[in-house]
Amino acid sequence: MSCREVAPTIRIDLRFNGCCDASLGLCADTASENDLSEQLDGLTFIIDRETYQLTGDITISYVSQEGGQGYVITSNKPVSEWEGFAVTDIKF
Amino acid sequence: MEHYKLFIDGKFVDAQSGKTFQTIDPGTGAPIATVAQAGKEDAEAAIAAARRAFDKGEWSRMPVKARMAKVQDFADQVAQQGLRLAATESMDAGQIISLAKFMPLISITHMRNLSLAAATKFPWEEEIPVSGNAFAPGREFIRREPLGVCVGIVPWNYPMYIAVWKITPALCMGNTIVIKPASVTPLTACILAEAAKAAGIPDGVINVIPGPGGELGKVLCTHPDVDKIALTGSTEVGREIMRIASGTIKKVSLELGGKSANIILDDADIDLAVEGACFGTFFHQGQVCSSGTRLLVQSKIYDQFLDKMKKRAEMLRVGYQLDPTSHMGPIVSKEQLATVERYVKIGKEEGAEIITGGKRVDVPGMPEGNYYAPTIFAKVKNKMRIAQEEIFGPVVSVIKFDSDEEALAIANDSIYGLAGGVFSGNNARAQRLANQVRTGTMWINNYHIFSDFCPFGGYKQSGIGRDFLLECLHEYTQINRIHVNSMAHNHTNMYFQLISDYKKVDGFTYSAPTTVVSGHGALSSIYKAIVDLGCKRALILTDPGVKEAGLADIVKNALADFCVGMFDKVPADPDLEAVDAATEVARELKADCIVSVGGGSVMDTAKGVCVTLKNGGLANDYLNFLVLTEPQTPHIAVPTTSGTGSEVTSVAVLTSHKAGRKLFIVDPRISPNVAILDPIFTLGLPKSLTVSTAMDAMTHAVEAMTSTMSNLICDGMALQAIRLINENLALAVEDGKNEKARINLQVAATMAGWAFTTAQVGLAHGMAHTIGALHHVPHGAACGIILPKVMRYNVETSADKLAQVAHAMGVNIRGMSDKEAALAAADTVEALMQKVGHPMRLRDVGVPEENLAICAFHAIADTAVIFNGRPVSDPNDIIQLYTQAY
Repeated sequence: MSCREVAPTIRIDLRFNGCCDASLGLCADTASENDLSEQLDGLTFIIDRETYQLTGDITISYVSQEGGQGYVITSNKPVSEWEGFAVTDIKF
Repeated sequence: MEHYKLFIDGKFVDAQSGKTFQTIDPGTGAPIATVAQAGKEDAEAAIAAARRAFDKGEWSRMPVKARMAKVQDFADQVAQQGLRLAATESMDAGQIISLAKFMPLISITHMRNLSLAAATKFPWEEEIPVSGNAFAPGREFIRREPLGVCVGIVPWNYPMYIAVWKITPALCMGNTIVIKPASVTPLTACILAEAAKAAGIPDGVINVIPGPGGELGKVLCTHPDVDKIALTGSTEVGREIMRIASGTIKKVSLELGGKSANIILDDADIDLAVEGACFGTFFHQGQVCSSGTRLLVQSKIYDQFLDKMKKRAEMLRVGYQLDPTSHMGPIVSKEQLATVERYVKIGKEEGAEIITGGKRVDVPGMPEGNYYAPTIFAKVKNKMRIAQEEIFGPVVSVIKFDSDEEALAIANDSIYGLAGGVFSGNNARAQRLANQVRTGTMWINNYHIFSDFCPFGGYKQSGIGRDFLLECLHEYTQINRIHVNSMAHNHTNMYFQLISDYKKVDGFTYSAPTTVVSGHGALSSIYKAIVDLGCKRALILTDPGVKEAGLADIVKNALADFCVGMFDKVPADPDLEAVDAATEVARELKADCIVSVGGGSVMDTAKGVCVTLKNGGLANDYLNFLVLTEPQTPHIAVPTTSGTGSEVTSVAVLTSHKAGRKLFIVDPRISPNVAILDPIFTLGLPKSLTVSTAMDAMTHAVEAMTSTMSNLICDGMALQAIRLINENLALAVEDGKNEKARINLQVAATMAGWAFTTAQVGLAHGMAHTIGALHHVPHGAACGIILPKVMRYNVETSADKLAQVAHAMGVNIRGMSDKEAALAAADTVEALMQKVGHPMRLRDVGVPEENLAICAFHAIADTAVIFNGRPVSDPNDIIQLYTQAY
């Protein structure tokens, strides 16, 4: 995800990480008209409606394990067979 | 509907959980087969089977040619399944049939090429002729062995071909493998398993387990029985695999994403470049990791090019993949189609302009197919997401540039570096640009060209490792180095002695390759010697003093027409620059032989010239120990002093100004081929030089006797040298024209050279080197002053040897203890020095007393000190010796 100016919301977005498999990522962003939003623990999460249609409900977990930590994002309708395999950070 | 099973341990089995999944034709949206869905327990079973098969050795220890035959049988079975594989690949992965029909053929070719290379070209065992360790001689060689159990993770864009990329090198190198195909395209990997079984590949060598990557990946990449992971896939998955594979230090090779730049220069053939741009982007619906999805077009042709490319893209026929008239088939899955659409939306939001495409395509009768139009974005800035993130669909971002430098900067402004292209009418210009793009592959006036003998892989976040041929085969092996000691005895091992009080090296290898011609008139032998060496163009190296004395001209006349020139500028204490200057002259004159006429400086310079003339480059390149592997430029040495012994030694001492000290080339291959000891060259030697050079030779001989490397042959040489010097030095000093004394001193210096070139020297030389370097004391004079003091110091460990020295010097040692005789030897050396007028103290040769401590700290680090018979580790000992000599 590209960096936009620091915003109070976190976008859940579809992104492609090279050769074959898309995944879901997190990015600080501002909301637009076509977005859905959800307040959770004082944070506002936004997602493009079309992306939501593709993914269904999304679960975000924070994991800390040997060699790395970050967010694991899974969805009701996985965007690829590798969903949940890797961790991601919030891009600013 | 056809059902495909897992392939584990040579058997087709259902998943232990009983789960199955459907695989979908992306062109119709209809399921085409059911497939057993492997879970964690199936992955563990596959790994266990692969481990058993590897450890059993039937495959891993099979002779390479037998293994090649088996892989070729496998290739034959793939050929027999060719039509089924092509049709299945097309239906499962959406490859147009005109592409899929080639997949079996190029897979077979790959299997045959790699197996043949593995059996006939691969360096399974390699000798290391030069070990780089001068202190531990022995045979050194390496054996390459298979790694063990490999895991191949295969993507969905080329399911069969990339499975073959993983299976073939793994098998050819004796490994076993577990293949995990992509879940959306599992079928052809399962058919490959059938082909492997039919070919008689042993059970467990290949295992195929379709199933979800998120679940299986954790098992495959962390299991302790897995030795290597080979992934073609996303950078995100590759990064995680690297991380979790690190827990058990697995070998990893990753071929990951790309955002390659295809650069269209203003001198390109426009029609060719348009075709290359379309093929580079829209081929296989853009689902190729090497796609040139950043299309960089030079501003001068930008409008014309874009207009033509738009028209060409709109001519591409998007249709069902089995229709032979289709140019582009469907996107592989609904999810991937959604990803493409998401990026097109992002591109619009970022301000890029769609000039064609940007929408789905309705293919008649295929309402559920994932068809998308070839899409061109103009007005793209390289910072936009559509220019930085891989889309993996038929979407190209066109970026305008003005200069080649700007194109290069844009091309390199990416986290990826997998491939790229340049289209230009000027190969030189294109290559200049291609050379500077930081990427694994560049095509010039072409795109997407893969070849079995050309490596493929990425820079930066595009991956590590390479597919294809030898580079790839190496990645499926590990190196086993074998050292076989040449001298299997604990007292010949300098390393073991680091933890032992016994420092003497008992065994030895003696090599004296130089032919010596000695006596009155010996010089005339040079005329035949040069012919015997197969040479016709000799360059004489000498110094201004020797030239002035007319000695070089005597040699020139003896060489007659064989002499092509003379380099007479060798300085005292020669440096690397002197060698390079002389080499340059030798190259200009096409010299094929070097004749050195002079003392140690000239002969050492000549040795350096012989090496650089033979091997190219500069003298600095070759400052090392035992690294030469073949004979050097022939060298005939004509010494004009009787001291250095360089005419037969394997060392050249050269000053490196950058290193701030004298450094060495040490190698038997730099020993001169012929040494001519003719007294005509020393009859005119001044008294002081006669004395100091003789004491240099005396020091060589005495220290060769007392060094840790001393041996019976060198002892004999040294004792005879000592005897000859003791008996003849005074005679030569008394009458410089005494030819017999001169000959004897020449032979003594040569024999001392032979002695120390194997046995080495010791502390006296280390101390003399230091005061020579710091206070410009002539080497021979410094050696003479220091030697008796060091002899007394060494009595503790070398009394027996020094007693022999005393005997050789005419001391009647009968009734003396070894220690008494050894001390008498030192006294006798001093007596000889006094008799011939040698300086006796350091103060006599200009060394300031206050510098003795500094000298000691330098001397203890001198290489020669390593070999001193009495170990030297305390600089205070050396200060005391310098003080005694002061």
